[in-house]
Amino acid sequence: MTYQPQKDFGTPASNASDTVSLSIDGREISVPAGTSVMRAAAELDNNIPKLCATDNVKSFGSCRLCLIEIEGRKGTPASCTTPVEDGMVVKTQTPHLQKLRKGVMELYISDHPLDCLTCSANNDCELQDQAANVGLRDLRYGYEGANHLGEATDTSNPYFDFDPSKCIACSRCVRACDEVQGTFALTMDGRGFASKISAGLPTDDFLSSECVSCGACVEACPTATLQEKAVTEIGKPDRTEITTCAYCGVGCTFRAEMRGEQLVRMVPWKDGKANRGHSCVKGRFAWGYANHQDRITKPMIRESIDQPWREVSWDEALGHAASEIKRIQKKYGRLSVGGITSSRCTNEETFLVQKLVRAGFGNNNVDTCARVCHSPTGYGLNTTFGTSAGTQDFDSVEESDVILVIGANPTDAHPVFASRMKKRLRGIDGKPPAKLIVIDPRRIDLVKSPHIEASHHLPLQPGTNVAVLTAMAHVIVTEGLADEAFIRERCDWDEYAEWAAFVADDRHAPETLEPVTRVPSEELRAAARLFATGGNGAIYYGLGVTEHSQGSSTVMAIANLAMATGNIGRPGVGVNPLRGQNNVQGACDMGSFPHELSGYRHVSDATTRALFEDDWGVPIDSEPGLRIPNMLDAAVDGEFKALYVQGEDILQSDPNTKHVSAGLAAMECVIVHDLFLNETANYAHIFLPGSTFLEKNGTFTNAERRIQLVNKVMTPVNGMEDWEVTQALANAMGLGWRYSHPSEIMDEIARLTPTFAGVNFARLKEAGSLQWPVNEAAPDGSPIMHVDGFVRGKGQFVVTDYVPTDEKTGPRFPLLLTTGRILSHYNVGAQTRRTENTSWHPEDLLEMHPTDAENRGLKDGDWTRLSSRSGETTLRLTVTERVAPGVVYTTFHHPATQANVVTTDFSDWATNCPEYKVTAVQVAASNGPTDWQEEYEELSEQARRIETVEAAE
Amino acid sequence: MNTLDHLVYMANQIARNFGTRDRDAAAEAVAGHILRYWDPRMKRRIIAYVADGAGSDLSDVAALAVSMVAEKAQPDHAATGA
Repeated sequence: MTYQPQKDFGTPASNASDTVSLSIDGREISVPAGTSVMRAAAELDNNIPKLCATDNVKSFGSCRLCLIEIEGRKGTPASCTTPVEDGMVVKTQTPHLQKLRKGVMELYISDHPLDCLTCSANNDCELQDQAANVGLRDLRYGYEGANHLGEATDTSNPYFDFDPSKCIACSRCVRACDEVQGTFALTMDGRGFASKISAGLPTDDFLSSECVSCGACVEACPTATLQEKAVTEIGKPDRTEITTCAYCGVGCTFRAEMRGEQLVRMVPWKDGKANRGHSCVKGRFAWGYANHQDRITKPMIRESIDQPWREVSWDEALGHAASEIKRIQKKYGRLSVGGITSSRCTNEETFLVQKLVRAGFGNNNVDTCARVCHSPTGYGLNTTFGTSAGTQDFDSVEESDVILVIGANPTDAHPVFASRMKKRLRGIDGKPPAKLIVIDPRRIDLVKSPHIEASHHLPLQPGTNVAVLTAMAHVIVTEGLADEAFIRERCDWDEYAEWAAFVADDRHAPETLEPVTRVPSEELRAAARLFATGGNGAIYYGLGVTEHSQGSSTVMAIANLAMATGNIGRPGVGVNPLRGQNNVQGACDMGSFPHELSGYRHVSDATTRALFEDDWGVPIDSEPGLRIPNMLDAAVDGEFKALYVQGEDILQSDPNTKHVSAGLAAMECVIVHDLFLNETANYAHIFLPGSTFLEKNGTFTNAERRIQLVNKVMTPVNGMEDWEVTQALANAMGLGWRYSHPSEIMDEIARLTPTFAGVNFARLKEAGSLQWPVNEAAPDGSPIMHVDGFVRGKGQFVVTDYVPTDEKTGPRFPLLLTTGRILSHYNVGAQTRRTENTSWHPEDLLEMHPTDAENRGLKDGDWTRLSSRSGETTLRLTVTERVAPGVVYTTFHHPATQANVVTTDFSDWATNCPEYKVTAVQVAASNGPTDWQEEYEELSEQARRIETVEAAE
Repeated sequence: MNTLDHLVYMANQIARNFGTRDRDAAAEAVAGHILRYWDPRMKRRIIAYVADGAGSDLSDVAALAVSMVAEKAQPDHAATGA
């Protein structure tokens, strides 16, 4: 089928449940009340000509093209702004309407270049289509009058151009920026003939403006005014495939628009239930890494890491890997090897890696990058609710009255969901805005941004989450605001009573804890009252909750708060972990943790083991295996000797880089399976080239537990999808696997995992996506969990005592460093650093409060030395009031900075999730890179050498 | 921190987080946690550390928990790792 853009119904769908019947051009139709006549007609495939209307934004009624006639009414109303009424009789095409439309089009075209044949939007242009639809044949006005032709194109954005001479001033881009993205960067400047789209001040271009490059304006533009550079360069796509983004845990679905095997553009899919037609700069534009020159496409081996890499055949690489693992197990024991699954790979790939470890290596030494991000979520929510996952779908936010965001920065890290949250916080569609509480050491963008202001921002001292949440619980219990009816029905009353007595103690009063948390007690009390009494209360949290020495306690404290206020089990409420990577949820579900099999069942459970043992025909070890930090400890001790790492860069992402490198250096065989020679590969002996999400089939599971298909759109440049590589490695070890498609792996997962019992590729394709559990009790999946009761039976209140971290500030290290992400980059930056996203963020920067900077004689842009008890690095300073005095902040996207040289070994008490968010540091002026940075750069250069083979004569 | 120091630190940290419970209940919880999440060699090392009489860096609750772990751990598995 030839290329078709996704159907545009002109105005948004109505959610009303009552329907209205009307007649359009003699055809009857029933639609929800509140639907526009334009949309009702589009449902009948009667596409009324339009320019300023598009179904992602509210109707505007400015282009005067969508006029209709209604029996018994005077005039020609605009169909986009006219709601349907019972018994309405509509005509969309009459001689009168035709004449009006032609007149309107004449005016538009008289100020529009007629370069259709060479225009980048040729044959994919709504203006062109409408000129055709209204039968425009000639212009009475000529082209000589005043016009906007020949204006300069703004090419500053690396992904799209803005050509004002093709603009028809429909303002769809401005409205998309406002309504969909919520950034309010664009505006319609001037009036009448002088109207023009502006990205901010007259001095601003798109790149320097507040534009976040989400692409909503480009998507909304009906002409070539806002056009992807890739379309300009390549041409119009000719086929599309729906697939799922491989960046963050929001899990946006896209139409990959292709020409042959060349990706032309990624367009957000309007039917995607996670993103509802929206996107961010990463998913929409930052896919160029797939074809980056740094991609390694051939397997490589070397004896030791001081040697250059040698390209070999797949057979040689896999045979060598298998024999090394066998040799090492024979020499050092069965438990001396392990593997790490990737939260960036598919469920099927992750499942195979843990199967390889459990069935092939014969132990449970498998872990995943969730160890360093959301392992406390698994522990905390499993303990309190009985399931290791968030309770809601993203749509739920539309029903929330109070939104509590703690330790998360959604506008940077989960931008598409943030846009949906911001929509609710602006209160459009007649609903009053939801109230917002932000608990974060930094004044994140959500605290105050256009048309949004948090009711309460509690800028706590890093490391005091449990103290703040306990103080909030204190207020709720002592002021009688707890929802006792809910608690009596859903939870164990005795456990609640014990918890309530604990939090009610005076030592947990906000006033008592204020010196520790540094949160003004009155503000905290007001926030607690608002959350308990403000209607539907929803909690959203991120790694600022989990990456602490009390990460698991904080997750349980959040769960306690939700149960105490009755905010579980219906739309608009719940506990919502915002997952970091695209498939963190899935990797955890698939049995990537060393203590549990898929579906969160402990390896000590004989019944579960028997299920797998019967299916796989091998015994499963009943003892938990090593977690990543424990693997590294064991390696330094000489007891852990080989590691297979799929799609994770532990050297850059894990804390205390020096300890990680010591562990890796102590191993005899490190197998890295990745797209690039990442930092971990500096210590590897075998490199297996990986494939991108564009080159594979499978599924990802997002933060809503939503399982979505990933569809292959191009052939893997390395020759194999990642699941095929793992299968080939397993078979080199003699396991005899015979999967011919990932759907067969999913069938095995469904067979062995009760919460996935009803999942298969055919159903996923049919339904678009499914939220687990999908089983007999919930055949269509579970958008909201714990509806009629908690999965574990009764919700469990857990006493969470505040235990301060052992990472203390003092005279040598007086500041607290906390780390995080920025919008344009993703995790260690392996992908985004290989795209034009570096235009926004070429290096990691250190944020510091003006007072702290002045005390140190530092100014904006200075090179500074950041040191902790673990190590030191240098980076440039940004002076900003976003951070409180005493707190500094940086990102960890760039290997040259290696922010994790500075972070420590401290970790969550229950899961060993590292304490990235609290490191005592000192900052001073610097005149150059640290010794570590210089040594590491030298090592990287050495370690990345690839032997060039002389061509045969 | 070397591995043994790290294990001792972890055991004490877990114990501190069950600090609101009485001694026996806290030790029971710590032991349960170690049994559930520590690999056999980690258990073996901390058990040996206590058995050697060198367990003085463990808190009272953590030490009691390790003795409970020693009773419940699978001796064959923990001893050989083979």
